[in-house]
Amino acid sequence: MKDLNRLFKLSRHLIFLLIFFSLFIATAPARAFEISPVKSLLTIDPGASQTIIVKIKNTEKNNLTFKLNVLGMMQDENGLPIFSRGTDVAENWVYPENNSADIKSGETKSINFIIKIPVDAVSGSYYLGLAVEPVLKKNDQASLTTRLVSLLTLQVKGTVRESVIIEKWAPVNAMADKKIWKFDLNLKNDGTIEVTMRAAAAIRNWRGEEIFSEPIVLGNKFLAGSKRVLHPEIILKNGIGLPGLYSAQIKINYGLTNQTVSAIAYVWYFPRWSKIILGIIILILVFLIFWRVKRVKR
Amino acid sequence: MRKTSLLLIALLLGFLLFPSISRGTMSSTNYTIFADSVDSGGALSTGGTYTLQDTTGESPVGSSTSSAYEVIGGYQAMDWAILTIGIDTATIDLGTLSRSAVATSSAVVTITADAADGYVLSVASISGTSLTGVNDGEVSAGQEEYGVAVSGPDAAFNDDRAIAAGLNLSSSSTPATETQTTLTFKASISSASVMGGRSQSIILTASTNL
Repeated sequence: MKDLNRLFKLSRHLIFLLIFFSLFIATAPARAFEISPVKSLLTIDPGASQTIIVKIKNTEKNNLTFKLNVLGMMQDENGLPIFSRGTDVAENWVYPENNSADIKSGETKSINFIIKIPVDAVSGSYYLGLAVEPVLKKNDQASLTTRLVSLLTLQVKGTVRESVIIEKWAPVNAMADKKIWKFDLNLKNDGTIEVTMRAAAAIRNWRGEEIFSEPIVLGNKFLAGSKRVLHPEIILKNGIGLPGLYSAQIKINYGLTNQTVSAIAYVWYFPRWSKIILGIIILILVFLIFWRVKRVKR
Repeated sequence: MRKTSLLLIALLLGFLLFPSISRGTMSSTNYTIFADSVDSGGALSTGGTYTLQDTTGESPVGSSTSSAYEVIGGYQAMDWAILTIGIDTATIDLGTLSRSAVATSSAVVTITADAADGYVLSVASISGTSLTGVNDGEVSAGQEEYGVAVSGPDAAFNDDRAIAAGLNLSSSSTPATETQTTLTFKASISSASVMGGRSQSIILTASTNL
């Protein structure tokens, strides 16, 4: 009987071990690899050459071949990077020493990317992505692959221009009755270099007196040639109670040259209570007119 | 006289009722990249014209109050943080589609980014053949639609989206440790759908945030 119990206990442990392994295998990620650095910045002379290293680690259980590529990088309207081939002239200035790299399981390899800046390169920032992608075997019917990209900013020596334009600064509703005013803000970096920005919006009454000012978050670094679309909200403070015309001025301070760009939008503010009072006044007026007309007829 | 007054009143009312929505100004100043300031940021705030100054090795040279700087050499700054990606499957098989149900198949992408700016996961490119992309936010049975839904702590959207290059799937502006994003591919057909197989190759890209 004891032997039977022991056998039962053993089989229970075996079943547990089997379940454990199947879960582990199921959750262990396939095609795992890593890169470093994730971001680089180089200032470089026209006509100069330089080498940049990207380390790739194969963390998968199989040996892998990695394809190496250089992509152009843009920034979308939300400030996120987008990579594609054929978007930036600088894609032709950078190339990997070899087009592919064989890396054994668990090993790390340093890959050289060579940078050669043309003599006539225009000064300013160029944004690239150094892409690393595992090559699939021919018999591998994979339809989903992953790629890691190391960001590279090349700043070519010379005079650069910082310029941010406010393309749109307008209230979503020009007539507001709530204490939250929503705005559309469209920006464009018209310069030749990325900038950091900080902003504040000042609310003024019809006499031009500032009631309050509030910081506006504009997001991350704004790359040259990019556009950004934001929808900031301004929550009214106690100073605003009366209905009327208010102005909202946004002031953006940006760049190393510490420049300011601003724009004004106007909002008619009619809180709900003012609408009710207006409605009552109209009713009274209508009643008075009706009463007067009736009296005249008599 | 009366007409002129009325016109003036109308103009005044028009001005009050339709104020210029936006009145922007633009200013720009030229300056030249000064290598030292690029990394440290904000060192040069006196305005005017500056000259790009490279430095030897990793140590930036001192600045001067002059608007021009002598070019010495190359300067580079690198963020040696590590970005890791893993995916639990390389094949998405939606099987034989029917008009009565939505076929789904999932893949889990795991990302570790110890960079201060976090990470961005997006669709890099697509190739092959597919069904009509979903455009009403939901892949529904009986309609020819194909799309992807994402779930996880950093998921970029909470409806079904058509798969297109540049589609942001998940992102974080802070470091991430083994953050999982589940991609659920969905497809459905209608009675008008053309019979035959479809196959697609999708490349996902991960990078650090800007």
